[in-house]
Amino acid sequence: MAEIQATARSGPRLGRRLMLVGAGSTVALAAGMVVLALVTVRHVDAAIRTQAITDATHTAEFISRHLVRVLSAQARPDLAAAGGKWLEPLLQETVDGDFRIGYAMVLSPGSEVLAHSDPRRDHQPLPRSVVQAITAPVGTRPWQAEIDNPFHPGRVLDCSAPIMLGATVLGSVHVGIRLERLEQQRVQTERLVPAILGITGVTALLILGAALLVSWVAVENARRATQRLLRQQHRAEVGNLASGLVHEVRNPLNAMRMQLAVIRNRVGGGGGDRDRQIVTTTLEQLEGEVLRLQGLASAFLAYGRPASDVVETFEVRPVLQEITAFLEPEFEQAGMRVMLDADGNTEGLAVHMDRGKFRQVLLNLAANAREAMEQGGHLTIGLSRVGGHILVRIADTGVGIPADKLEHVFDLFYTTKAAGSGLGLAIVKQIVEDAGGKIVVASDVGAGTRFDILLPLAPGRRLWK
Amino acid sequence: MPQPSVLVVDDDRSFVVACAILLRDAGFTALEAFSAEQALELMQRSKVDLVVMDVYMPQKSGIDLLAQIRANKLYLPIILISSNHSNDTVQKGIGVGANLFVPKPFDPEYLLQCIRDLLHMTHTRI
Repeated sequence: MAEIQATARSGPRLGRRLMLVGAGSTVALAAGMVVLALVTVRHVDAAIRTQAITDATHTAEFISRHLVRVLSAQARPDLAAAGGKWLEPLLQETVDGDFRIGYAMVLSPGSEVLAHSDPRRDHQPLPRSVVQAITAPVGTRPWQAEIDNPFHPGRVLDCSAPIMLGATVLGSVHVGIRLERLEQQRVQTERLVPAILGITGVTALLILGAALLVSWVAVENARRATQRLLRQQHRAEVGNLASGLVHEVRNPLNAMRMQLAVIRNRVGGGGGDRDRQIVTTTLEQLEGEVLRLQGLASAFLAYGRPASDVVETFEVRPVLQEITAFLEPEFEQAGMRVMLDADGNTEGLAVHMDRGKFRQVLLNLAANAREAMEQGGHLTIGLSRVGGHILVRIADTGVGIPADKLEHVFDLFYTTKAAGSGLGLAIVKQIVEDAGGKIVVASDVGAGTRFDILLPLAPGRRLWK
Repeated sequence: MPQPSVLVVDDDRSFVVACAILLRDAGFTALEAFSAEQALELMQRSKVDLVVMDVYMPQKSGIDLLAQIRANKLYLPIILISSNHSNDTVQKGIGVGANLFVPKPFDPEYLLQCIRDLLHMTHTRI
């Protein structure tokens, strides 16, 4: 039963843990996605610039290759004549086809504009500072430079490719990227950030929802399984209870039938003193059996009764003192001693349960101890505090319980005594567990038995007078 | 023929006492034991013709006692009585050598008749 109750408790606990893990990992996932989005945004600026440079340089190289192909077919290569009718439209198209590009032009080694996307600029000389900036130091490889736009207000990023025939540099192709356009692109992209974050968030929420749903289903399944288990357990327990009770009732009934037969044999006959004596004794025993059945009925009811009695918060030590005082005369008469072992730290320790049931637990255990100490001995009732619990220890110096029997002592209807019902310790355990406590037993054959009862401290812990 | 001697073993004292009186009323010699150990001791000291024993007793059970009696090659009739009527108990009892299983509670007259029959069969066979 204890294991099943433990399962019943651990099922939902496991579920809750599962849910926490699910929720935690989803939150972590969402946070990760948000960070990823932010990092991406931070890199957008650089990415836009890099992409623009790559595109412009490719365009310049493309135009340069075209010119080189034409020049290499000429007997006397002349860059000014190489463009023919196709160069100017190509340069114009380059500018029209890409909103980032401000101009495209072909420069002679003397830095004269041979062709320009804006025909009005053809054959115009460029300022010396501009030419210095946009001309590669070596002049044989692609080059980028950020300058004030020579044809238009604003800054421009000039990307160029040399026009080379063999080892001779015949000129260069220049494509200018307008930085204001890149800024526009960046602003447009950044406008997407809330949307990206929104999508990220929604995705995270969806995952969270799915995780919670899965956890909830798992928890619900565990709860149902536990309930089913408890119901089965309950049915089994009721079955055991009934068969145990029947078993317990048959013994006294059997003895009673015997006793009645003994008496019937002596009814009507004259009978001597000896017969009268037997009838008297047997009647007494018959009465004893009736009392035994009566006691069994009461004990059975006590076991079956639900744990909703007079629950109150009370201080433990005075109750233990009272019980010790109550037990003392009876124990002393039988040649045993009973003592209370509770130090000053235990003052004010209180529990929250039915006071009568608490007394019943101690009296039941004391009765067992007395039976175990028929040869004399002493019973110690100890009280101490263990964390948020009180520990009541009932230790006797009696005959002890062998290990194979010890594991069954709390079983319903388990008894090693001729007149025992097997209900006493089962009731003790039930009372302690109903109060949220725990009881364990340890025993050494020949040395004694010890019952440890742990009960939760009442909220407020101590009652000060 | 001397009075047959019947040993009653049960941890239920009031049953043993009443049963012994009934057996004496019916003309048997009755021996009383309240535990398996006590029964073994009595069987060593006195002549026993038949044993009536309970299955469930603290310390040594009736089944163990029965097994020990049969292990000692004592073939006297044995009646097992128990308030547990499960097939398991009956089979276990018969398995280790009980001659009869009588479920509790029983009619005292029925037990006496069983005792008489078993003793009669035993003597007839011998």
